[in-house]
Amino acid sequence: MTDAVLLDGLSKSFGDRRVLDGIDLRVAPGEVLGYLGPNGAGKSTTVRILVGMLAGFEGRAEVAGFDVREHPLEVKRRIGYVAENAVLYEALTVQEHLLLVGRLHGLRDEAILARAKPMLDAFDLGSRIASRLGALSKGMRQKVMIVGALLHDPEVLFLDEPLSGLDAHSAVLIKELIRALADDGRTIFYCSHMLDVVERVCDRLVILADGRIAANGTLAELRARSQGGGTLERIFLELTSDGGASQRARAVVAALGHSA
Amino acid sequence: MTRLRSGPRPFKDTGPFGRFACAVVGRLRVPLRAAGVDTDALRALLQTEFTLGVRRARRAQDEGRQSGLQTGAVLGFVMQVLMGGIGAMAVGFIRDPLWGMGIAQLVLMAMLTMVLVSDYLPMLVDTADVTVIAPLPVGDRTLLATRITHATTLLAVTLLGSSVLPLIAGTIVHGVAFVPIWCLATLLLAGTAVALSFGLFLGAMRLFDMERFRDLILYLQVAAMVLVMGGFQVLPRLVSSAEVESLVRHRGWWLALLPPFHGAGLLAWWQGDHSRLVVVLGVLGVVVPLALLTALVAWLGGGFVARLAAMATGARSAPAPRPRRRVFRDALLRSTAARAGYDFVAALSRRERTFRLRTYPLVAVSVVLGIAMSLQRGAVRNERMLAISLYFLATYSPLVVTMARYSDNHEASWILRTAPLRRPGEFLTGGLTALLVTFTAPAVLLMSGLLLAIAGPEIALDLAFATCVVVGTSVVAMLKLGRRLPFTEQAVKNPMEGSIGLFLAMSFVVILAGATHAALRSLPVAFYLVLGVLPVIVVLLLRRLRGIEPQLAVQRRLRSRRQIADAPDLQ
Repeated sequence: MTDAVLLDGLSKSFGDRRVLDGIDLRVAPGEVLGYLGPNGAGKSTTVRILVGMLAGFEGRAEVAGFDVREHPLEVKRRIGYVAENAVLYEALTVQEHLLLVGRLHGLRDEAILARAKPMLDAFDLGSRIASRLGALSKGMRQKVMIVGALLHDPEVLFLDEPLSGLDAHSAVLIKELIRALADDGRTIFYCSHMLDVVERVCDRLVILADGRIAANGTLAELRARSQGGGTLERIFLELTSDGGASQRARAVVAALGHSA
Repeated sequence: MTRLRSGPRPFKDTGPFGRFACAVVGRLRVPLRAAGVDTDALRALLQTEFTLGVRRARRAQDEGRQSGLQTGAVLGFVMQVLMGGIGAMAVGFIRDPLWGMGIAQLVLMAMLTMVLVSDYLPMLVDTADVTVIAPLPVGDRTLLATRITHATTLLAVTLLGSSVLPLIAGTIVHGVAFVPIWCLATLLLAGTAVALSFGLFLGAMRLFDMERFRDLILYLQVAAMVLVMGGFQVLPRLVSSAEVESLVRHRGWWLALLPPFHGAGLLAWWQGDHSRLVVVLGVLGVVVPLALLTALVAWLGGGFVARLAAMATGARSAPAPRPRRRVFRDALLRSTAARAGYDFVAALSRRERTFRLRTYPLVAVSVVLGIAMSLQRGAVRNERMLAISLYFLATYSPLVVTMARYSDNHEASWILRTAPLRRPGEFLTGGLTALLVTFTAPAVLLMSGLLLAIAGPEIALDLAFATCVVVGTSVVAMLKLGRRLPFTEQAVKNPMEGSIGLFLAMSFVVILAGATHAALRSLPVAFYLVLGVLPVIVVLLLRRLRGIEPQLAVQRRLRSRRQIADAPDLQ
């Protein structure tokens, strides 16, 4: 069976700084992969390469069997993408945004609106269809972006901190949605810092540190390999940090001119 | 169109020009598909672009952002209409339709190049919407075709002002049919200009890495503006009118090399001239722009989205700039807020891509025009009057101040708006001082040095006079147009808000100042009297600059005075 996502020696540098350093990864269809790492570890860079927003990388990257470099359009037809900081055309209305996204995916207006309506209602956005995106809250814009990412029924969904700005009800809905989409055969590539959510919804976890894969496996496998065992947070910190959080906190306070 | 609920029709703000562009795209479905363009996606993107343009402009107007610019825009439009007067004279007085309309379109091309280079070339490499578009299945050629169509349409619309007088003259001389022929020729000329200039940029995009390209496009723009505007000013002064007349007397095949004469061929053809040259020119008028645009999209469009994405992300890897010594800053400004404003504006005016693209070329043109206007057949004109060419520098301060409002990263303006500035005006004073020190002062010094070298010390007093006027005009422009926090607003892609409008509007000031200078020179007592007063006025104006307050703060104060509790928040 074709891998939903395949990375083979993926590397990327910005100037002299190497952000990704030889990532090898396979994600099976229907799998929910949690892609974790501290700030600057290379999570978003990986996703931006996979969704065709970032060129000039080394190695191979494939989505749904199509090479990202050779067949970017075929890849984009099969993916949905929710960015962490949703940049949208603020002067467009919700309806216009969805029409734009749907049309670019080759959908007819009737099909777009027929699909959008129940999704917007589910996100309590049915009454805001004619509102400008600029007039919506961050969380609402995030929901619109999620609806836009699902409109064309993608095979692979890339979610980069999708719960950012969402209220508790919507966050629960997204978590349930992820599981339901995966049960229906879609692949989810889930980037997040929210370890408790990842722990609950993901089948497998990949932890990045300094542009390399520090761990790859199910939560049970990671626990077994970990020296301390225990929670995902503990495993994450063990793999990605040199510890000393309390010392660093004291240094910050000391810099303000107080003795810690 | 299907609607989800009752409410406004989607994309109802596309506007007549947007709808026209979408209709044209619909007609050109077959060649566009042959060039690799997805026409449905192209129409969807065009509808979005035009809708966004209309709404952003409307929003800017609602917020009162354009109030200071409206006078400039109106003056700019008047200047455009007046520039069309040269074309109207050519159309009206030259009986040969090929030469009459050809020369009129040639004048239009000068205008077109200025507008294209200063306002619309940046549209090609605009990375603002890359994060929205890049993950969607939009082909390279489709996105490129969107930008080309958008730019060509706006460019043609912008040229309507310069077309008013030629259209009136042409209708009187050649009949009503002149109107559609002129409009078609203008649209096709805009297409040719866009194809050639975008082609140059896309070629450079392929040859150089994105880091270098970002700098290169700026130099290309500056070079294009200098060449075209310098050429238009210098050539007529180097070539005698007799030489021009002998050239005009006989039609030659070399006319086929000049795109403005292609459209003129259409008129001559329609008027019954079926000579081989006219037929060829008419055919070229239609074929050249379409072929160039198709070739551009088909051959140079590949990898366009990826290159734009690389441009958008490449800034992160740019090397850290060297720290600069701020001698002038420390000497001129005392407060921390003012110095912060100086550093902020000095840094962003060097690094903000859109600002650089929209101002630097016109800044170069101000200097070139100044020099070109002072030459006559390669020799220096009246040496004393040379100093008048310094007035061209007065055009660019308002331009720089206005464009310094806009930012590629305007979302970051919350940093300034939430900063606990006791007197926000100090920050603004610092920023405007930075513009005076980094833009106006070096240009005045450079130009003065050049003019002194050409004409000698006898024009020193004239230069001092002109310098005072230029600095004074610059400060007045800052007081009038610079009362917004710098680099905090989103640029509006509106033809009337373009930098070229202001540039043209300021040409009035140049003419007025030059004429006054010349008149005063014939009255020595008055000249020396005014020369003595001018520095005092400049000093007083500079003092007012120190007390400037941002418009936002002024409006807040007015609002609280009038107790308008429910007024929309300006932030």
